[in-house]
Amino acid sequence: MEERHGARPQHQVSSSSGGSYAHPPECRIIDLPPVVILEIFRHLDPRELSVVACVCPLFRILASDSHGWKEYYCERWGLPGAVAPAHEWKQLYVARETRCKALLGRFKLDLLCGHTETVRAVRMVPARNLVVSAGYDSSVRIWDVGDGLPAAWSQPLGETIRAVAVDGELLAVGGSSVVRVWHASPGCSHLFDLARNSSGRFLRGHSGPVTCLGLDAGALYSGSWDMTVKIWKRHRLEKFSQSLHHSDWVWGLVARGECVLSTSGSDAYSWDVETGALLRFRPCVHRGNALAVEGSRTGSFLITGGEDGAVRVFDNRIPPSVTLAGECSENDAVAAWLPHSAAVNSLAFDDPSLVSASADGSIALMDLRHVMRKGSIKSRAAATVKRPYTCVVKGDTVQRMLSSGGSCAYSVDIGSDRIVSAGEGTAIKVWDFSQALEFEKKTQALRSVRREQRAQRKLAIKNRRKE
Amino acid sequence: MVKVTLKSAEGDVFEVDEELALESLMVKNMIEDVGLDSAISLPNVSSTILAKVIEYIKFHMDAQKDGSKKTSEEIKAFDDDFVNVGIPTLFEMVLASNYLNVKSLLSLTCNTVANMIKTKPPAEVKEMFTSAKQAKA
Repeated sequence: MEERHGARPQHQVSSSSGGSYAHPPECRIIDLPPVVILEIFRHLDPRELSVVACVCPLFRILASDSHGWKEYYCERWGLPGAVAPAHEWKQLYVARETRCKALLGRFKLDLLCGHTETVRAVRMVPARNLVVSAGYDSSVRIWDVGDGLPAAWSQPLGETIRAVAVDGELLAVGGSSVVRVWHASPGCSHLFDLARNSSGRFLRGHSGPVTCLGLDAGALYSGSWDMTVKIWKRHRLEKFSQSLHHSDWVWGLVARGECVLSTSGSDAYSWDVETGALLRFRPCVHRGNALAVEGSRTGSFLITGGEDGAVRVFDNRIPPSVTLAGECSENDAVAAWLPHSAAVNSLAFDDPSLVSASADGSIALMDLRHVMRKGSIKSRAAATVKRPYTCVVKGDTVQRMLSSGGSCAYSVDIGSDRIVSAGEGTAIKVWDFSQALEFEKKTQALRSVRREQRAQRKLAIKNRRKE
Repeated sequence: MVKVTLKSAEGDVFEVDEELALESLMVKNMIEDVGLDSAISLPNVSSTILAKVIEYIKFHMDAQKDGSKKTSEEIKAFDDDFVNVGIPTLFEMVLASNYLNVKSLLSLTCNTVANMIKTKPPAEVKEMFTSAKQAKA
């Protein structure tokens, strides 16, 4: 390469280099074309975007309009039920972000009574305000948590039910070796018509009790004590398409993004949904069995709960440091809590809040925000370093403990300002935080009014002094 | 090796390898449209900035070649040094990389500006970018 004008560029561009080109006398960021400013804003995270929005009107428009908000929202919570026009993504994001604060506020405790024996599994359909539960009394019940009344229940199915999975279209429960599914009936207010079609459709394939179920857009996943996880495609439910083999009883599974996260014995597995290939194997994530598993929406974080009462978070993008069975990968965790004195039976995650239910009868609420922030889209793109964690959060404080009355809690779920938990004892507990949110909004409004008044008073005093 | 002639705003002429020039999508499109015979004039880019952009592309092309001994730390050090310039120059580089459509450089320079904005209260950002006195990067 030959450069006739080869001098190393100076720090200050001089405008005396001749020619017809005139430098702008002073190049400012607001002189840049909006496209370029947007490009710059793409490198900021939500908090920084909000700060930048305060700088000037142009920035405000650009920072609120940014397409990035949609990306941020979808990364954390997926597409909302109703599709929003572009300019509302910021509001949506902020509303969702403030909602998690409500979990620290006042709550109303509701009890759903109807089961006659211990309830093993409880799941929510946040969009419809429904809760589905099942347990040792072998009947499936659907509750409307809006009014706290039972909406539908099935006849006793004649077998212990340990797992429930539900979304807007499909309800699946796992009994001893069969999975029963119900399709949503159109026009049914509580989605599934359990009264008319009491026993559901049978999916046969497992040779042991089904312990966990998961659903995503494409398939139903079932894990069993026969040491396999089976994948049933939604469009062809009658026969499983794949069987993922584990080396021990499968305790928990969850489908997130492109992968299925499962625990078997004390090990944790990540599988590719499409090919059924084992992506990551983490041996011995807990002392004793790893009973519960959760994951962030994209599957980049793996969260496990075990018999040792600990909750650990692993970054799934970082390969485990040990891969041999028998070795311990506890230390790979990017965050760990020890909230319980007995086994963690169930986990539920709604970005950024994680809840765990334990055999010691308590529900712990943890905040994963500071762990997850290091792994958002933007920092991932910029991360050339393999380990983005400078400090690992260990033994972090639990945000809040909720008591489920001292009896063993088997299952927990979180969604739309509510935490639902079930266990020994026949009642399902619902902690309703929706009032706390209104309360929070009110105090915020009051605070801003007060701040404004204070500013006005100050201004008045200043003006008086001038006079 | 085929050479491409680029003409900066001041009228200075740069002769570069075709391979290197094609890194800029804008130049690539121009070459496809008008061919290699005439010099490609870039009225929005000053000589100093164009020289810098060429320096950047050349370094990264060398680094990507097989057998290059440059480690990722060296590349990072080069990038850090490359964007360690005054705000006006940085903005001109943002504009130039946007105009020339060099994705990696645009990303690098925008990220630098974003890092300057980060962790600062609005008042400081405002002062930094709008006041007459030019803050150092």
